[in-house]
Amino acid sequence: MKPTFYIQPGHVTVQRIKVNEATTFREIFPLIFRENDESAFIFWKEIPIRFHYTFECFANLDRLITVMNEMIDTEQGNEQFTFLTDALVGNWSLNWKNDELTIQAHWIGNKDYDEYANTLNEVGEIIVPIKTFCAEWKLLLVQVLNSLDAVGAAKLNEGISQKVAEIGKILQSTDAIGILYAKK
Amino acid sequence: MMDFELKPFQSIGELNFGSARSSVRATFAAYENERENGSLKISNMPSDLYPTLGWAVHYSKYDTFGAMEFDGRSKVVYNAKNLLELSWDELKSTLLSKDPKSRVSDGHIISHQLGISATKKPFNEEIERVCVFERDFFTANKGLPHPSSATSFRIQVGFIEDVELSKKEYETLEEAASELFLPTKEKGFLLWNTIPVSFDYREDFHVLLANMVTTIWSIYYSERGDALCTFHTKNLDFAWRIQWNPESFYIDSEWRKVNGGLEKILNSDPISRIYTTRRDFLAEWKLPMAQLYQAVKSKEITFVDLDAQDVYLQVESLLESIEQRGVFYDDHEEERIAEQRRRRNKGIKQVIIYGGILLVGLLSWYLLTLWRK
Repeated sequence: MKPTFYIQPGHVTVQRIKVNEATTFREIFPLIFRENDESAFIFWKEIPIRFHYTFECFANLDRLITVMNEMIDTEQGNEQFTFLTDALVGNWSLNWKNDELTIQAHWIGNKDYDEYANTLNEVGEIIVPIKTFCAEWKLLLVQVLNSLDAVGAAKLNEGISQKVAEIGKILQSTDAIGILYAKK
Repeated sequence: MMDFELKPFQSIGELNFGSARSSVRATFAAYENERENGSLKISNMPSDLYPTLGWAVHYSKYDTFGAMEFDGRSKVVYNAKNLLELSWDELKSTLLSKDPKSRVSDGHIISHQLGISATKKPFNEEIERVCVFERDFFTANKGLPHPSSATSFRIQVGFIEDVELSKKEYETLEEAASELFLPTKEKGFLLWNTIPVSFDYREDFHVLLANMVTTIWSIYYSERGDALCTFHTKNLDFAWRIQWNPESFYIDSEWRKVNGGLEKILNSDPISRIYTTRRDFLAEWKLPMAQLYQAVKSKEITFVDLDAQDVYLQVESLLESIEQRGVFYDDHEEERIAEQRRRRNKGIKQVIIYGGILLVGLLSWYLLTLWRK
């Protein structure tokens, strides 16, 4: 059976620049990654969605990491999350109970991308174990941590240190990694 | 009336382009009570409007200050002139003299070289609004989150895993690919106006290259041409009509089957057509060709089938000819541009020096001639 949700990270280069102490976690991404670099791709029921290390990380990771921590810490819960990409807006409703996560999403296309949104809306919700969901984000989050280290920003300020700690928690929540990279 | 001096692409008044929204709002803290939310129709980020002052402040998709609009209640000073007090003709002259490529349409002018645009009032020659913006704000990467204003074609390759092969001689490319790329799980992507069309290395990759290589050859060696390329694999079924001449390069597409069922969006208008350049299109194919070439060469593979041999030889030749790699992989693009600038500046200096020497020589000869007379 094909997986309903998986991620292929890109191979990115880090721009080694000095980051201002007042920079927030989300603001770091357009500074340390290049626009013209590979993207990660999220496969949503086999439909690929581009997730670039500058804009999509900037727009989504901060809140997504917080929500994933909440999923790890609580037996059940629900959250709303707006997933932004260059082409799409995804209004996600996340519900989890007993390690199973359901994401109901309503997608809206930015100008000229309506059909892209329609295709995603047609395939419906995804249901995935929380550990699997976290495992799929693992490699990308490791890339983020390594990149923060490379520019000396992992402990730049309290806000970023807090986010680094939250990422660490996600990485420790499961031994598994994404399905594309798991050894058989 | 508030004064704003423009330093193109650096600052407008006290605001620096690229600064965070919080910083802009802090600068305008005295007017916080008058601020309202607004938006550019095509932007993800809400704008800050100050309707009583006639200002609109627009932010990039990274929530950094990108553009600001003014009406006649402010002074926007550029080149010692208040742009809002000029007549329409005067403003056009001012911009066109600095940037002849400024685009003028009915009652509107925009200069991407200066970061200035203006709109005239209907029925008279006065300026209604001026907008100043940072470099590339009205392009896909920075200001506008959707790239439909600038079509694009990119290829992102996957990582090819190493493999032990059972033999070195293969009948066809297909047979070789099924073994060479057996452990490779990552997909490659054709990014068609940023819509990702994934391809599998075992089943699709060799077909893409085998069907493209002759056309890539034609594009490289001919200044103009017209080619129809069709691709049919287990996962993909599509066709491209590629047309190119010295002025343009574009591809019309028809998608019948792609992974993820994205045919409808790919066939929609304006997504189905790509405009690019010959150089950029060829560059995007360099790395996929290099992957095939390296995979075959490193395992010392030979082909029985003549078509397969032909593809390999064409790939080898094209790799030697096409210098540039695709946008994601061309680390040297910035160095190349800087080197071109250095050479151009050096050339200009040389012209000035040699011109000066020639002038001195001519003058000396003239004076000598006069003296002899």
